[in-house]
Amino acid sequence: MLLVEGLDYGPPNRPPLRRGLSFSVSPGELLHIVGPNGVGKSFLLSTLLGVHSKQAGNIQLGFSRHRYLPQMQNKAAHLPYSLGDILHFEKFSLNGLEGIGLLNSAQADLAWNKASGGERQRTLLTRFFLQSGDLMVLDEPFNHLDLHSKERVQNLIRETFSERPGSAALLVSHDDDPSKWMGGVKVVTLDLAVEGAR
Amino acid sequence: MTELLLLYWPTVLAAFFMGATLSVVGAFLVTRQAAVQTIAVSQSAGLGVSIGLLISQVFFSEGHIEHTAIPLICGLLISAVGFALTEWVARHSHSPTVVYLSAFALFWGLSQLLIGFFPVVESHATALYFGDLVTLTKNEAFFFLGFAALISAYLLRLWKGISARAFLSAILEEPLSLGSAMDLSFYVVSLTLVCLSVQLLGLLFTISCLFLPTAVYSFSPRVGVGRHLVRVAISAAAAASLGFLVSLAESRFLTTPLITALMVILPSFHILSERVILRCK
Repeated sequence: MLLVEGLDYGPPNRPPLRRGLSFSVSPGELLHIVGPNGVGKSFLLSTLLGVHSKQAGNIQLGFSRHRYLPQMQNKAAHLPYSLGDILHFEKFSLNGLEGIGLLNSAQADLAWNKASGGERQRTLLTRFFLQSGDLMVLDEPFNHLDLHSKERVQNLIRETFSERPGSAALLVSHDDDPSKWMGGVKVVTLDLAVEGAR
Repeated sequence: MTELLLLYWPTVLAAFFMGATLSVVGAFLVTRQAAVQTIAVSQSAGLGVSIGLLISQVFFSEGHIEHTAIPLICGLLISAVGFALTEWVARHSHSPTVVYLSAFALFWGLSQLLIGFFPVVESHATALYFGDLVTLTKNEAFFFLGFAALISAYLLRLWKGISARAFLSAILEEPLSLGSAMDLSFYVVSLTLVCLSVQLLGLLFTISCLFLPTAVYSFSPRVGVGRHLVRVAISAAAAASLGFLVSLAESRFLTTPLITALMVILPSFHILSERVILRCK
């Protein structure tokens, strides 16, 4: 279970983005985090995972392992990474690609710097779904995706919940209510424009 | 030539392996967007070495002052301070590049101030900028060989993890952290390597090896991190050892400037021939 009580978070040495935020996420639940731009949705995720330090409050991360898809910055890199390089770093076999269904092995030789935004995002999503971890943390996973790929990602999230009953998810997305595609999974919405004080 | 080779073979090997390790570390530093910071830190290492030379002069006024460990220790200490200072200020700035360039100018100015007050370190400080492999003693060459072998083993073992961290920081903007064993070890290795190289091989040699091969190979049509790293290592090693050998044979070729030119010429020639072959196919 993830339990957050009285959390103040934001960039260091600056006023918090939100104050006194409290919520919990239990296994079998998906927390849909919404709110307008600049309200601190991405910063909340990175604070929960310890990438950034909290300013006050308590975070109890009860899940033993998590996997994290940060929001993709659509940038080029100096090193000529291929899409396959990004999967090889985590010692993933390219045989697993077909099962995920977002990339095929021929695309693994494409250069990151020449790939489209959609191909880059599908690479990062493939990396995400090849990882293990009961808590899935997804920041804008549908950015740059066409309709077919978006539906495939929705299916993969739903399948993970049905295959691993202890799973939970934190999802930042501007898309429709996930309860429409999550089947029987309990979906809770956290609206940062309403929850917590500025 | 054979006599010169017999005399300088440890230096040729040291140049070969230092060129290779510096170029691979440089490729990672550029990906981590730390190239300009490295130049500033190299300058702070130079300042530290000058301070160390001065201390050596005071305490060991006879003999070869540059061959004591004090300049190296001072270089390491001041470069660690330079790294921490630039890192801290840059994290609080919206323009890290300007912070690094300002730090470079500051360390350069301080080095010149030091020389003005203590002219005794001037010749050593000038050597820091341009360096010359010929001046390496046999012991120093063997030391560099061993050191480069250690760094090579580290890079061979961990290059995938270091590449992954570089990718995450460049593309996903995950901050690099001293709390991560991978990041910490890379910071320590690169700082020590740069500092040692600046002290004994010179600032120009160090910066050329770090950045020129990876900059030129970034124009290659070939994809793949492993391939890029192998290419920069081989071209830097070849340029460093070949440049040294040619300068031994023909004294009008200054060693480090020739090596710098070869760091661009060899990979450029390789890429051009590669493009021609690809076009012919």
